[in-house]
Amino acid sequence: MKNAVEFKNISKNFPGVRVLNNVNFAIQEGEVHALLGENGAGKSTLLNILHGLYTDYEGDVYLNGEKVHFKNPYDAIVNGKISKVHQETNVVKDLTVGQNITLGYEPKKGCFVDYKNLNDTVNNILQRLNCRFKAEDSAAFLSAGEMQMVAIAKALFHNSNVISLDEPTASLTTKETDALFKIIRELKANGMTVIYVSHRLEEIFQICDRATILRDGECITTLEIDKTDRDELIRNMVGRNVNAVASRMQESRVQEETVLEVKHLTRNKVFYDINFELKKGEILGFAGLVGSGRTDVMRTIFGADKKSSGHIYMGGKHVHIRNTQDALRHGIGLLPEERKTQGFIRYTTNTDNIALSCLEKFLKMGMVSNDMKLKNCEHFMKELNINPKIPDFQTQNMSGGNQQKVILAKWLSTNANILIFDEPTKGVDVAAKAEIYRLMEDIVASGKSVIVISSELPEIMGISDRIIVMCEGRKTAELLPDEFSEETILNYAMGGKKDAEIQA
Amino acid sequence: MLKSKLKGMSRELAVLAALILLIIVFSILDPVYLTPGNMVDIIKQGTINGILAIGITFAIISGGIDLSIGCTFAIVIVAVGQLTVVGVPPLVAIVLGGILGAIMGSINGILITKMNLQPFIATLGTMSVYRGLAYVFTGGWPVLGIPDNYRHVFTTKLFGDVPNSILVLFAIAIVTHIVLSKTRFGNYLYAVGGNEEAAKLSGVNVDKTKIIGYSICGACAAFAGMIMLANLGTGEPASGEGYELDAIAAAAVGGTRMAGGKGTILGTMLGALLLAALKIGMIVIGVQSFWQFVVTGIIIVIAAYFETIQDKLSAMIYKKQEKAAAAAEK
Amino acid sequence: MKKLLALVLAAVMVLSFAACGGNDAAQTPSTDAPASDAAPADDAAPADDAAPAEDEAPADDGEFNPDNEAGIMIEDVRAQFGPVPKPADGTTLGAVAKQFQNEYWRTLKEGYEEAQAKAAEAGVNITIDVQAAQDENDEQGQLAIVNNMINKQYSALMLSPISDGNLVPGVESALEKNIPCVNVNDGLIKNAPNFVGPKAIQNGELAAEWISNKLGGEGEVAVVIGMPKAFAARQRTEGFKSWMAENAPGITVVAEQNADWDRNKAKELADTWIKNFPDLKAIFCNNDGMALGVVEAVEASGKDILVVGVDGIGEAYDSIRAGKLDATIDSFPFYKAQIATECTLRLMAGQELPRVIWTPQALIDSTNVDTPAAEIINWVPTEYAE
Repeated sequence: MKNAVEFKNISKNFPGVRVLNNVNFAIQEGEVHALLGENGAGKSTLLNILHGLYTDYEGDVYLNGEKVHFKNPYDAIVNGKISKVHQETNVVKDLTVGQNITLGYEPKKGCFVDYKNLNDTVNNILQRLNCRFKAEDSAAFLSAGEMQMVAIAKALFHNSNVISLDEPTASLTTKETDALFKIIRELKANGMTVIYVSHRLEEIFQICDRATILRDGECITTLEIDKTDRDELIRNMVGRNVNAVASRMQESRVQEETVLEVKHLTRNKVFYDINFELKKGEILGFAGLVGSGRTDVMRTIFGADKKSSGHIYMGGKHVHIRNTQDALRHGIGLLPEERKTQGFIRYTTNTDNIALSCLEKFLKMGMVSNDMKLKNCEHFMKELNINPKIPDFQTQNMSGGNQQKVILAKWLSTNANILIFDEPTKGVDVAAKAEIYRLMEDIVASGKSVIVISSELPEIMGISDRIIVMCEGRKTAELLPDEFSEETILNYAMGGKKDAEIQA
Repeated sequence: MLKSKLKGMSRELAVLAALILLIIVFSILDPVYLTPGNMVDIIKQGTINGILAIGITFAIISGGIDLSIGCTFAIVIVAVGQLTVVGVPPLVAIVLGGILGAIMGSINGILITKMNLQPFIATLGTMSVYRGLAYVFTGGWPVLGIPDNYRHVFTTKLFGDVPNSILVLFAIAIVTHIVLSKTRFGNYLYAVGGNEEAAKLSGVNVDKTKIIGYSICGACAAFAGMIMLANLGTGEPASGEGYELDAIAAAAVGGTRMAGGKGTILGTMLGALLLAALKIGMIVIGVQSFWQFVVTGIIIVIAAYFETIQDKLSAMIYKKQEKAAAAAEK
Repeated sequence: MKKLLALVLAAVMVLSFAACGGNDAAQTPSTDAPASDAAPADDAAPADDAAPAEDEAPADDGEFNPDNEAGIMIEDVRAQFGPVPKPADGTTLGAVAKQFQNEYWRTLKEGYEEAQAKAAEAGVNITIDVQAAQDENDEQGQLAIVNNMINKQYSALMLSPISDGNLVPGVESALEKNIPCVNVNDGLIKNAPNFVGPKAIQNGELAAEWISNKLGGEGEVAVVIGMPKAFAARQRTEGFKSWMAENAPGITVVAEQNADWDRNKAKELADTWIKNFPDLKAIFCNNDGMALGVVEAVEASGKDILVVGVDGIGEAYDSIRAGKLDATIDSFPFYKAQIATECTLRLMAGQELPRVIWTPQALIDSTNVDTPAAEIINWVPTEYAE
């Protein structure tokens, strides 16, 4: 079989660090090839070299047997017929879908954009991808999954032969993921080559033919997926055995005492009549599809959004949480889903990010003491194993897992005894995921309580003491561990229907 | 520790280096430039813009802007002028002026937070309202005959050619520096400017923080105005036009990020002094006024370019640190 | 860090280059014969340069500069044409000023009101509607005011434009409808048939002459310019410098900079000059606001430097009385408005006045600061025919 892409002796240095070291492997034409490795293993660097983002590297890249060296990403797309679908897809919300897809290469009639031609071409592509939206639609209302489709449509528009997908399912629902896989299979059937980067190993087994594993900038091995298993992949990725599957290492810590009770909580047009209790020492899971209102419920409890009606009781007492300061005062902490845009402050060091929610603890004669902030930061860096252990480091430059730990450290610095984790392992590598699960267990072991929202079913089943399932703004089920199964949760998440749709 | 502190101030050091280089170049072009008198003048003429720039630094760090400071400045000038003319004791008038400025600033803050207006638009509106009110109060006539006891508060010479107003500048700089770096409010202000949503989700009272930030901005404008009132002995309602742009320029040259979340009082002060040194230098060597615009503009553009390459540099340094740390881990 | 330093160096180099280049540009006018580089008007009509004012009016295609015109004073007009013919009852005149934030323009407004009152006393029933733009940047707004007056079919318009061009379309449409237009000074409308105002270049000359006399024809002087775009600023500076060059070879203009009509900027400019030109003897400012700022700088320095302004605002008079400001050139807007009104009424009656009517101006110093203005300019109120 022909090689679509071949890397020969690729090395790349950043000042002082060798991020890729003599990488050699080939991707065959028409296969779905997984690129695996922990964060920082060199996957993104390699893709950036392939797609012309980095032009300064050692070694050679071959495309269909020919040596190539792209000047920039556009060069790669237009001349190399090779496209990348980014982890965070870039869609200009003020333009239509069609304008987004053809951006920079609009068909022209004279000096005007030929919109009829443009929309026809794009609609053809969208039809091939089974998209429900049209070229004429505004991009502002696309869901995460639909944006992914726009990015793929853009690759097809440029007649790409090779497509790289970097964490394509990170923000997709199960249903959207299935749709994406269907499309990947179709693309493959049409002879297209797909490079697939993901931290979700189960997906690799569903969709990929072979996988190349990188670790610390070196190519470890390339494996045939149907001749390997999960453990082998993980062993190669981390170089050691890690129990990456979410499961409890400690016994359940659930106590009788109810710390939080939510009654008839409603935010009009978003969610309705939510009732639940949280016990001391409990890890309570919230499952559901993306957009089912789980995040909104938590934001409302936390005072970030206004409720329309309903009541919140803490320790049996009725409390009024009108804003986030109230929530903080009542000991509730939230680790938001979108770390970059909601979790931490840009241009700010770990020390300051960790200290932000409890500055009153670091006052010395009315002034904020940098020494005390620093001590607090150093304490948690050790306690939570935050890397690098540099307090002056800006949080924005850390890896996803470590950013998550910085945010956790911020809440642990306060007196919060209820911590809400919204998709805590999104975009986090395998080793860091395991660490976050352990930390959650430590938190409940210390008598605090945890609410966790997750779209990864194995994760939420593995970690929770109890699971609440939501669908379209309503609570549809409350499950105990002996009722946990992917089928049951999915069933309730999709409104409790039991037709063939679920099985598909 | 010192090394890391200095690294944190690389931007300020760069502005300081530019300031010193500027003084050297002008001194070579015309040795007259390097007299103690001129050096004091740089600070003296940097005083009003410096205080305005310190104020606007608060608004900018919060992620906003205050276009109305030149007009707040004018209202305070005519109001305090009127107070002193009718015989209110100078110190009382100064306190009232500061409060008036803070109130006008907090109006901006309330418009921006409670009515959810864009800072640019909100302060563009109040800019016109405040200017109009300054004319309405005075009927367009200047307030004349400011008593000497008021003027002396700011103009009395401490020693040599150094007036009290310079002391006020440094006092304001030190106080605001402490407020920004050592108080909870200061920490929150950076957080709100760096990422408003994250600050809110960390339990920070975003609205209150912003309103206080704009109040400080207004109070600074008030002090700048009161110094000018003392220097000139006349309160003109038309004064301060276009001063907001000079203040923004000083903040920008000093490394304040226009998108918010970053900036220091030291940087802004150095920025204001740099612009004053530049202006005086150009006057001394006789650069034609038209060229002064060109040169000032070039300096601002270079400062902005500085910002972008500095970001790249620091990102690189951090990457390097991270890799090194990861390597050390193993 | 190396990159940063390199950039700083680059910045300084750019700066020093600009500084050197600028230096040359600034030196040229002060050392050369000054008359050559002033308003573009001079280049367009070079023939008039040699002997302005005495010559015939320039050809129509040349740029209009009233200072080069053969204007006459209001006394000559009265001698030549007699009393003002009585206008029709209920005549409404429109007057448009630049803005009312500035005392000068408010005084002009009072002058128009005085003209209306004096006419009423003489049994002449006219209305003068005085309006102004919102501020000096509101060029379109000023034009809108003029158009509104045309639509209301006012009998005549007296206009003081913000810039040389902004009221040109207004005057065009007014003339089409046979509404007489008079350009009242400061700012030129080239298509207005008549201009009423002081000879701008002359007030620079008055200041120069006075300073030269006080200094005994020797010493260093400096000029604070208003906005370089303003006609008045250019002409005042020009008049000052050319008079010095021709009549006082012992006096050198060592510095000139603009301070944008801003009092504080003028003060700071003077602060710097006083330090760097220890022999500076006098500073001429394009208006009184700036002059009063300069006075503060001079007082603070403790030096004896003459300061002369232009406009004659009330605060300047007070300052002269207090012995601070040395002199100002008053162009008497209060009377200027009355002269403009008189001329407009004459034009409406069909009298063929020359294109330019000069209005009086005088230097005010401690000797005449308490003399009533009417006495200084020998003012006689407008007389109406029976």
